[in-house]
Amino acid sequence: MEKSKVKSTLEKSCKRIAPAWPLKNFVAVNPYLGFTDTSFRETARKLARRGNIKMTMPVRYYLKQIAANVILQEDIDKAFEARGLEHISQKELLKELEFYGKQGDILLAKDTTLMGVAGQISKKDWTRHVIENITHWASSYFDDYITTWSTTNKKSNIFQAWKEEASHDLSNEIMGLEKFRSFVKALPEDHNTLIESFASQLKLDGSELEEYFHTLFLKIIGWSSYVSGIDYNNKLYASETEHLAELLAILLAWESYFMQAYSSDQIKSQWYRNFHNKEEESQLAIKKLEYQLILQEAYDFAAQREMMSNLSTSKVLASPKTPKAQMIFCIDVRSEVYRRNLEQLDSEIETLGFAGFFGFPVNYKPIAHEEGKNQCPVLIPSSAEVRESVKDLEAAKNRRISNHQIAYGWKKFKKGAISNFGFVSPVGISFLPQLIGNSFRWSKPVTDPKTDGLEKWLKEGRALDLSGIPYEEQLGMAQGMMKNLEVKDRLAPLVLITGHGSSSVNNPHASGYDCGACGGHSGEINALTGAQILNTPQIRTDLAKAGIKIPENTLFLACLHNTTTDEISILNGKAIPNDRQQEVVALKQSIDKASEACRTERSARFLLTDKERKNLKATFEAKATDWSEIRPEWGLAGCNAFIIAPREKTRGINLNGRAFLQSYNPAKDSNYEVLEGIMTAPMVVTSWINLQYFASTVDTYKLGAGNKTLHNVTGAFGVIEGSGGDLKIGLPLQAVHNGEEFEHQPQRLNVIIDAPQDAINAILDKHEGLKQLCDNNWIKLLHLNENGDIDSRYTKDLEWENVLATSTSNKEKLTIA
Amino acid sequence: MHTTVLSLVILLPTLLLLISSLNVGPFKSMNKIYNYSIFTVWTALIASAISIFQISTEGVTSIEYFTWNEVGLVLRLDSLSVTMYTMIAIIALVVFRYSRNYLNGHDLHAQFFGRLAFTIASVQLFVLSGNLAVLFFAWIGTAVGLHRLLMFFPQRAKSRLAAKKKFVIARASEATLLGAILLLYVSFNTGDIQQIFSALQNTSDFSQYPYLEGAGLLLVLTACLKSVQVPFHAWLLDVMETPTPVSALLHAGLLNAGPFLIIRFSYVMEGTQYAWLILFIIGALSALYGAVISSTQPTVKTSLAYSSIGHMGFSLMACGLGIYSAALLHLVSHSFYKAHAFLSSGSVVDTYQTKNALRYQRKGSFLKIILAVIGAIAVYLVSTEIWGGTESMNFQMLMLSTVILFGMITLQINAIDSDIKGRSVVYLLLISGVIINLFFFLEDVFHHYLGKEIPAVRVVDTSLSVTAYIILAVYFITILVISYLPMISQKSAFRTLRIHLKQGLYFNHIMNRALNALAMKK
Repeated sequence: MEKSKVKSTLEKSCKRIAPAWPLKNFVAVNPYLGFTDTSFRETARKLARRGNIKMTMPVRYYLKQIAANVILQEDIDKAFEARGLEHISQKELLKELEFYGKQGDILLAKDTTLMGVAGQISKKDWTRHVIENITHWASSYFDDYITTWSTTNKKSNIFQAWKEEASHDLSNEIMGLEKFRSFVKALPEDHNTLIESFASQLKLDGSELEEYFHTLFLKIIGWSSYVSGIDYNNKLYASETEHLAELLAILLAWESYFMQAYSSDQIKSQWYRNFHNKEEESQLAIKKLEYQLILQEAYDFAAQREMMSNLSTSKVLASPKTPKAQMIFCIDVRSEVYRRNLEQLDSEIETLGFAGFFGFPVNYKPIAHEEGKNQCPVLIPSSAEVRESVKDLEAAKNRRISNHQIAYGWKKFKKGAISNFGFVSPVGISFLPQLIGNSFRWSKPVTDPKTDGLEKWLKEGRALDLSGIPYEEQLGMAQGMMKNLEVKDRLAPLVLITGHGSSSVNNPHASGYDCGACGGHSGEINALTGAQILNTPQIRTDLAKAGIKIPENTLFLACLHNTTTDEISILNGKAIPNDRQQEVVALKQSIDKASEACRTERSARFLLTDKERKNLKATFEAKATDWSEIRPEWGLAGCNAFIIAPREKTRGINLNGRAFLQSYNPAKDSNYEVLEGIMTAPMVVTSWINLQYFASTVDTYKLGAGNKTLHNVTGAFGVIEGSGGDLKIGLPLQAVHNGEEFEHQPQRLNVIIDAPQDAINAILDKHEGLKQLCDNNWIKLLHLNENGDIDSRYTKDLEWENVLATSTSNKEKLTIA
Repeated sequence: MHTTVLSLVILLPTLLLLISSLNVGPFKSMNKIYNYSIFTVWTALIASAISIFQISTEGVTSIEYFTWNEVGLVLRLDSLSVTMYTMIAIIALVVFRYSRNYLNGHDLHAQFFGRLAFTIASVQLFVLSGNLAVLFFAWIGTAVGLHRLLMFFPQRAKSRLAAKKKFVIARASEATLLGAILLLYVSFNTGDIQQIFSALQNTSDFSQYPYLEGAGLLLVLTACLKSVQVPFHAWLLDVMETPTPVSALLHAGLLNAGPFLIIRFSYVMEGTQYAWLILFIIGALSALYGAVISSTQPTVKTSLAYSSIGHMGFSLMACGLGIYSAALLHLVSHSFYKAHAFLSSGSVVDTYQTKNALRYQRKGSFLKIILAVIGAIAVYLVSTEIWGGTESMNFQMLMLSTVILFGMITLQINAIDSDIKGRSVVYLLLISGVIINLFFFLEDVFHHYLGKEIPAVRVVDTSLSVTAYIILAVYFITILVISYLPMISQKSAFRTLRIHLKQGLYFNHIMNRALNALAMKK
């Protein structure tokens, strides 16, 4: 094959791998991102064939849903219809399902890698060995924190770094791979040369080669995704890298070793057979997968049916005419619970849903830090820098630097070879009070990174310094936010910009519970930035010139919703003038009541003892501070809908904390610019989140992070399970499973839009990527009419079908004998 | 205290734990077994309070339950056993509490508590044993308990591999321990530890016990097997295949068995000619090995595991030297530190967040490093004066405190040979001074506390002093190389060295190969 063709195939296979983020900002990502141009069904087959990755639940899960009347006959009918298949009788279907339910996991295809074939020939699991080898090397290559003996000054090419290590490392030869080091030494220095020359030896055509490369990536899906994430971020901040291709070269180096080690004829012929004899694929496995896909489709239809009846039956609650306050929440599903409870308790408060960075994509730099945090969705780069500031900034900066220097010197002493004996003998005993204190929650294992190194007197007057953002940019951001704000023309006297963040202790995946729209951080900085800018008189004057009027008595408050404890705190209390304190205090009372109501509602999702149920506030606070807690909260588990509509259409309806809510009023969006903005950004992000939870539920071990109790943090950027194996991406089992059953119901996102179909179609037509998401069944598009009912469903190629007529048809239940 | 009451109080916590370890009746329910387990720990803490009162008023107490031919169930309360017993109770309390939320919802949650209970009960019996027979059976009990905890995820191939490796080592240690016990029994015609000690305390002529050297050697081997000394350590690296609280219990409660065994039989060790020297050398090498390899590991729990190998080595080295009080101090300190380190291992992501804060660069100036070395030595010498001056200290103590001095050197190098100024320098220098004084102080406390449980420090002979000097020289060179690392780690020789070290010098691979770890089923 020619070089250029190999190159383009390589690029294509690299695009198949979705990025993954490090633990410090663990952003939800659609792990099937590389397959949005392929249908859900086709992807399921490909991933099963190439990596034994599951994309549906086991048959018995769906049988349980049928038994519990979650999935009805009509859902199954629709699933058959949607696939254009003929119905089979209920009895026959159940018989088939019973049969497949009893089958265990069946491999769909034979291993099509040379390392796999070498394993079959020698009866030794070489694939596992290769994974161990790569994990061992990559953990320390990417580590920049844990080892005290570090190799900073990394080579920029990861293939060369691996090559250097592999040409000295004796472990491969000890495990029986003869002359491995000299083999590696003889490899070309340049990863592209290696890829090209090896690919040409294989005599595969373009699509086969892509399949082969992708299969190899899937062997180490964790590392592939992590490296892909590095490339993704570099690209976002304008320095393109091709580390993923370098990683592939490492895998190909292994492949070519096995090829020559097992007299190439023998291994090649068997490999060739595995690769090409598609007829040999297990028919049983294919059939089983087909059934599972139909059941999944039916399960998704069930969710739609439920949503339809939910939206149509409940009475619509009008928004207050002159609200005393408006609270802008993140679109996050956890806000739904809070908003509903708050509105019920105080009908004079209006709530809104808005992407949680509130249109302020800032980079936040804490005191004495070199690098800031990007507080914005990972789809866009951050723009302006916001700095932390305190009353005595200079003193605080010096003190923090000094404290960190002492801590650094202490760490060198504590972890350094030999000096660690001098640490443990005299100091180790001081861990006794810490051990007891942590166990009884009197203290936390480590200080809060937010205030670490800052003593109490230095925290005084903590504020944000916005001087890093030019005035024009501040105005631009304010304008952008107001333009997208549904209530821009009728602001209440108090507008509370409410970001959210989670609190947990000793939790490597903590940032996964934070705000995805804020790049896996708490939204407090964005809320503060927004309130501070919008309260600036000059900004208001200039906004008025641009036609955006903010009433003089409107005060913006920044708040933080703690999603573990459901407490909401006001962050910029100092901005409240004295004569308005009263007003805020009254509002806060309603808020605190709503917090209590939320906790009661959420407590149903936890396995709690009676004693714990008696004082929920204390119980949830304990979850936020307990170092042994592995389920501090449920995050976004359960999410299956995204409603883009004015709040009037959902107000008063219990959506069970499963829906993202974006406030949007088509009447005020003349050319559907706002809608376009929503569909290209929040809709994509919610689908990422939905598919992240989906993938971590249907395949906990390959696309989810596995069992939290075994997690072993590596390089401070990721976890492995136990003592080795691939890097774990996705969510831990404990984030989607309560111990008895799955807390996340794996259903694809239903995007429900209140806007004319033509407008939606026009946007889909304009953005090929969005159209693919809908056409290929990654998200389900539904239309909401003026009555607040779902009346049609998007099918494919900008076509819609009416659903009002069918929804009243047979409600027959399936009964299992 | 009345003997019958005392005998009940001391054995009760262990019996209670053994009952719940059966996981029958109410102990199938998570809530019940949890509350019960916490209750048993409180009974154990009460038992330790009573024991402390007992030994402070009436001295060492033996409680005999039943014996046959001088072997049987005898428990011994003395400062050593009560220290260990109390420590285990505290670790058990923390581990039980931790496991409640940590494994919440797991279908074997109650069984997990049962398995913990069995293991903890075995350790309790082991540290209290006053007779060779109960010591031996408790020893087996700890291994069986650990095995069942290791197999908590039996479907994981690596869990099974870890258990398999552990199985081989555990059986070997049981064989060597049995050998040691038989030799002791034959020599003294009794299984009673007190009688053996009395016999040894009252003699200076050890030639009447020809099997003593053999017993000592077997004890050393047993301790090295149990406490993961090189080359028997490979299994420890796979033990993260089980939930974190097991690692905490293992590293804080079970690995200790080796040094404890040696301290327990310190009078036997003092009667040997070579056994202690071998222990000294193996301990010193393992300490170096564990400490160096640990610093090259990028994975938290793996790094902690290597570090445990090193600390067990250090403790055994102190045993070999004959400073059993320092060995026990290190053991206890390490237990609390390591239990905390494992249980809080998820917090490393939080500490990493501060990593972006501005730090400092090392300079690598030869003069400044020399200055730091001199500075540390000066602080060390001044401190020794506070504790009676070097001339009043024995050679062994000086050797051990010199290792602490090396830690002070690291601190001072970081303070002096770097671009930090003012307050940070002062703090780091101050810490280096505090460290050594704290060491002398705590060692002194432990020394007085153990009293006659441990023998007096032996007379120095050439084999001891020469070995000690060699070890100190190696350690000193290591410290210097490490403090130069920021400047030289990019040199190709050091890059290569790091590759081999990172693999733990391949011991684990050799064991994997030997056990055919990559074999596929079918």
